[in-house]
Amino acid sequence: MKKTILYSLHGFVWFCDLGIIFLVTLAGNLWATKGVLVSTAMLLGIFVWSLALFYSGYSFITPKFFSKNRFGAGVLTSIGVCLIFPLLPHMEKVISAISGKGWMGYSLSGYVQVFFLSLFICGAGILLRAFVNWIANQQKKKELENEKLQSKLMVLINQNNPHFIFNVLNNIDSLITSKPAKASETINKLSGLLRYVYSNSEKDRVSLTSEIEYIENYIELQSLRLDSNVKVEFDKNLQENIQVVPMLFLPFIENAFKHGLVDNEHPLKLKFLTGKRELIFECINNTASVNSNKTDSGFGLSNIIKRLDLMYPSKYNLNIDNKENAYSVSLSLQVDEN
Amino acid sequence: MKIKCIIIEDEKLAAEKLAGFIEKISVLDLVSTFKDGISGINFLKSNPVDLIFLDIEMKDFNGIQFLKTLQVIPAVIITSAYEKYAIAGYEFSVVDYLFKPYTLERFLQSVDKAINLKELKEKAKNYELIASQSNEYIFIKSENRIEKIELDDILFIEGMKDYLRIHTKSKKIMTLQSFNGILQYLPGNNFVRVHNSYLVSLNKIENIERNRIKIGETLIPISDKYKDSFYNSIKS
Repeated sequence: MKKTILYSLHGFVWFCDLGIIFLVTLAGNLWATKGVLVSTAMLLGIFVWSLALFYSGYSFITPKFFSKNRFGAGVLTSIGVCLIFPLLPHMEKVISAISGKGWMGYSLSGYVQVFFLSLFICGAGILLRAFVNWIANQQKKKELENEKLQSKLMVLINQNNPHFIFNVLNNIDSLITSKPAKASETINKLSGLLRYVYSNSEKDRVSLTSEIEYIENYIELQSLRLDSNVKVEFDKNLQENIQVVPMLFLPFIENAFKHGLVDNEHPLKLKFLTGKRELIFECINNTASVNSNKTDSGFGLSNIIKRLDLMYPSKYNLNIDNKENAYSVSLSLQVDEN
Repeated sequence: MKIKCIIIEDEKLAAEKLAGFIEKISVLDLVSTFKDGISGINFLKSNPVDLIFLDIEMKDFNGIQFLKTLQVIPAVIITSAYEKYAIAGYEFSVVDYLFKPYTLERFLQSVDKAINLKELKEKAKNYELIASQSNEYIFIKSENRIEKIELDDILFIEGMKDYLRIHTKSKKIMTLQSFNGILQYLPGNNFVRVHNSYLVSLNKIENIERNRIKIGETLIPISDKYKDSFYNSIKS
């Protein structure tokens, strides 16, 4: 909730509180009988007392108990607070009672009255805080939803890596007259890739097998670009029906091709291992130098992490190791089964 | 004199395509092709060239780094798959940008820009761009434009001093070419010389009467010099 709205809400509570107390003192003929000084002091005393009660509900009981779904403890604490508060303005009477000198005219009916009043004020604090929290939660949900949407959009944009697509098109152009069959095959692979991106970017989950097929398609197009001089060791051990967030792994593979050393002597090592509820993905490539696997613009590691945080909150573990001559990514996920 | 050029491109197919295009331009002499910028730099140290076709986004050592390393920068045509990468090249006064995939026509425009540079103009003296693609059409420089002409549209070609006037169904195109020059780009079984000033497309001939060929409204004379070869070619 916006700060200004929140402050005005509190201001409104204070204003009403003071107003009600003033009206009560008027009705009780306080001003006429006790004089201005005493009446003002009493008015302020009651005001501070009621606010303290209100905020013990607002700032303490709701956040500590009700927001954490500890309803029993919340109710008990509220009653406890409301039992103690009526006694606070009469401490001298309490001390007198404790020391055995009697209640000095403090009546039970007066106490019970103030007890119910306390319940009302404390309850108002509790409810207002619950309401404020609810609004804030709604807003957070909206933001999260927004972020999710944005991340999907981001995937769409990233996966449509225009640079890659135009290069493939250029290759096809080159093959059209010399090797028409190969050109046709390449067009179909590229179509498969694009179709996959367009039909799945919007989805929350896709099957791991289709995701891997997509990756294989990508690798084949890359080998065409790099003159087939590409060796990939693909290690798959898949349980059926594993569902994953679409296009989660490709950025790592793209990065390997972009900045790593991938050829016959330096194969790219890919691994997909799945357990019952777990998936382990590994991508290891050689590098020409330590710095060649850049984590900059094209790769967008921060984007990937954002996505993982969003789609697998505290359900993933990502390790990136940039050793001399090798760059390795290891990602483990808790996955859903369909 | 020819314009010496090299290709720097890490993708084999892309380099092949480019080399194929360069081959079509007789004034260009492709000296060598390099897979990366570093070997290109080493080559250039001892072998100066006039023109470089440079891929901007290569692994490790990209086109911009390449340009930064060069002491003498010859004319450069940048090839790039995506505009974003090409922007970095604007600080070097490159001749043109070719965005992949590009057509022969677009390629010719770039080459035309290059051979109009004052450094290269001398070498390309008396040369007018002409190139053909797949027996279907030719590209030809006409004034400041590169015209694409469908071979099937050509009716006949008329010689006028240093120029040729190509008559097609819809227009007439003037170009600084010779008959011998243009014949290399036309399929010989259809385009035949009939006169010192005329070349005709055989399948556009409507009739031949007393050594005059009628194409559309025009009557084209057959000279004695070409008479035999012309009648031979329509027989076969």
